[in-house]
Amino acid sequence: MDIPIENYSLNNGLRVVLSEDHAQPVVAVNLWYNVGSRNERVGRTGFAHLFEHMMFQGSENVPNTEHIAHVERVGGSMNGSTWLDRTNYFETMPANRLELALWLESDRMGFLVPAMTQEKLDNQRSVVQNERRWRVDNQPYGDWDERLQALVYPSDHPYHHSVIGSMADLDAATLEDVEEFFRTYYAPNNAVLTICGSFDPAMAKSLVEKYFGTISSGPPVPPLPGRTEIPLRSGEFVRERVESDVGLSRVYLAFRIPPFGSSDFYPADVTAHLLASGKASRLYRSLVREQRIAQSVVAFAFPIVTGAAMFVIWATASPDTDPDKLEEAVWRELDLLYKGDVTAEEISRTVTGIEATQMIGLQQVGERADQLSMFTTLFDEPNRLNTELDRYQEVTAEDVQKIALEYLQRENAVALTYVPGARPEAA
Amino acid sequence: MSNVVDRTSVPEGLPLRPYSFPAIERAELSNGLPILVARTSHFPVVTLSAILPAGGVQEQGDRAGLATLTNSLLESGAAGRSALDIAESLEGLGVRMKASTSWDVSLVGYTSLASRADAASEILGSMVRSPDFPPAEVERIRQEQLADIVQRRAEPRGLANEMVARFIYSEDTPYRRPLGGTAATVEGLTRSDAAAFHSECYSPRGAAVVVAGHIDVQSAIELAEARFGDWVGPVVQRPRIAVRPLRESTRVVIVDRPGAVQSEIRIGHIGLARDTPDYFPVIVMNTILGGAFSSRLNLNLRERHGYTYGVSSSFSMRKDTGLFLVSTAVQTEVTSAAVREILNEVEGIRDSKVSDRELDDARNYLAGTFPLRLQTTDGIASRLAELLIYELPDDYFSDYRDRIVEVGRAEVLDAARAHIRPEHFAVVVVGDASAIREPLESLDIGPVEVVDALTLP
Repeated sequence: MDIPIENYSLNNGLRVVLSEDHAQPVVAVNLWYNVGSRNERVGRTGFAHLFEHMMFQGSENVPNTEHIAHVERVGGSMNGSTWLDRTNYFETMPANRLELALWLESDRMGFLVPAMTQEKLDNQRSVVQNERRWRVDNQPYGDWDERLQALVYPSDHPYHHSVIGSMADLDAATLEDVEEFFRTYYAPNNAVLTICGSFDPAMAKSLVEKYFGTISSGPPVPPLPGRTEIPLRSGEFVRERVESDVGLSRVYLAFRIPPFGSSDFYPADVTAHLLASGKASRLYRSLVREQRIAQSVVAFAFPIVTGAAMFVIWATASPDTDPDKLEEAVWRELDLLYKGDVTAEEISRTVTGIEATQMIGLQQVGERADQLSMFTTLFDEPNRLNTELDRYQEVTAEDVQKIALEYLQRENAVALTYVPGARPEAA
Repeated sequence: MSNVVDRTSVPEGLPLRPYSFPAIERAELSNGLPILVARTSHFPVVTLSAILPAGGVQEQGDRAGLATLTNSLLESGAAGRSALDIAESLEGLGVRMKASTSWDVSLVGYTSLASRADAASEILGSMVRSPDFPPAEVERIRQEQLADIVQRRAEPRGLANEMVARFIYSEDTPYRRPLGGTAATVEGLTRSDAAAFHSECYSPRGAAVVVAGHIDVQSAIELAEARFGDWVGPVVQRPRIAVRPLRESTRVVIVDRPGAVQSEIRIGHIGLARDTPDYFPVIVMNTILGGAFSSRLNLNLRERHGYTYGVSSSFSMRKDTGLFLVSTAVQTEVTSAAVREILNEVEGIRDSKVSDRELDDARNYLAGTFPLRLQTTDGIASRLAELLIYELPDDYFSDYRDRIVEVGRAEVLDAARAHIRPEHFAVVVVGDASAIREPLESLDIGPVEVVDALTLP
């Protein structure tokens, strides 16, 4: 790919990525802060995400609820999201409104604290607790990732707990926590700013300098809490069975794999796709179409970078299918991978699909901007946007076999099974 | 912290860069099938969709779910090619075929790299025209559809959406039933039902093709001609549908989920068809009420009270009359308080004119975000499909933004008063009846009944 990329840093350490494209009269502004749920301390799970909500509650020059209103009233769209490794904030604006987005983002990067109040914190705590009820507690299978993370990662690893966090820890969060978190992690030297779309580069640079260049650097960011280096194989097979008010049984298998960015991650990602992306994929063909024991199958490799990533397979059982039989059938498909059953032609088809998905997604300036911020934050290499697909093209059938043999094994597995039953007591 | 920059005033915008909807070419294939093409020159990507007059409205009531089943089966074998062969061929092209059914139409289409659009269209053509309906696949997909119904009933949002239609529409209105059918109707569907539905409703006389992306107009037309130009079939009539309410007065229905920590709330009534002359005032009014983050409902329920992660209102417009709905999920303890606030906001928008600021913000929001959704070939193709399905003029989107900006405060108030009728609301709450029944009764907005979803057909 040949997407134009220019990158530089401000004196305060803010990394800036510019990617010009005048095809549409829109411009995306995207910020990644190098902080996620992995940075949370004991007793404050869910805080990085709660903090993300506070970033939309106004800053020194932006009254409460006006941050989003400013974007909406000029016809922009915006959001933010928190994940294990990072927190991002992004808006896509009409091209003539770049300065407004930079003003808004810089005001909350530099001058959030004066606008924080107990009332705002209590309000957003309640919103986030309702988000947890909506996504997790009142949804069938809603706690799957929380349960898998707790089983795949040891209790002192930063991925052991979920992004959304516990109700009790959310209750415990204070205004002092907000200030401390801001001073620790929200500084230009811990962020990447990407601008992608229709803009004038000279003008953009001068606006970036004007609004962000005057924000002071923060202190060095403290190391991640807990133990980040863990064996890439857990050495044990852990099972958990959950009775819950789901309609159909579902089986999850999860494994530690090498982190996103390492050379072994790409064959793992290809393996996930050839197992369950599309109707020619192995699990779909075998479990859904031929044996008719699964209603649907999913597989993916979490693109996360701290110590070990996670490979997840799930299969939703057809009515009346015994989930244990379903699990055995998934293992039989993995056995085939160990034996080298995958062909070069199958790999080629799978990679073709990954390429097409990427090309189609990159039509949107917001998607391009987010990936540029990601590659810069995680690897300091924005140009990986143009070269990342090469890593997929290099994957061979032998690589897939090796990944299966090394990582997708019972001695490195978590099996989580949901079966229909009474709702467990809410946490 | 140094702060030498003046940050106190909101930056002004530069002059607005004009946006024009891509030029649309309309043509007819040699069998009369209409095609709309919009060329975009940016990414080497093409979206192609076939629009079929095979939506849920074409089903008989005792065959509910047949439109969905037939559509799902197109990939299961066509023109002698097996399901696996089709899947592998598409995957080799990097193409994920999307098949979907709405009340108005069924769609089959894909987005691919431009270089592969032609090869993919060959498979699309045979799926649409010559599906084989292999008996084993019919049975498998039918079982999947039954399992989907089980999953939807177990999931509070899906259950709430199903139930609110059930308590808004009269028993003889097709929209009352779920689009995918019920367990009872899907149990009865057969291969010959699907084959018959296909021969009646998958026809060039009523179908259309849209193409958007990196392809010149003549090539797009030739490609469609090669796949569909010699297709013949019957005229497909759209049945006349009577849309009537189940009840004439407000009723509160609790769909009981003992122990639920949250209540899924749906409040609404019969709404509008897509051809309403009030389309633009209605979408501006709805944006102010509950169509954007900064809407009255969201600022109240989320940002003021913290009752919910989010709340929205919408008019889902179809060829026939769709729904007006307010949707949210709130923690169990505040269920009745949240319903009260929703009703207050609805009263408010009907009571007096919105402010100049609200009107400006909503108009600018709608006009400004319009092009954001047209960055992709898929987004443009969806708009082309909208023109065809709702019989809008080809230049409809050229002055779409101007027509939004022309809406005034009086029209917004008129639209609210004409099209939101609280006295006809069905209030449906999926939640823990033991905790929310009394508080909802004390709101005194109408009789409260409790139903058990497990016992409903």
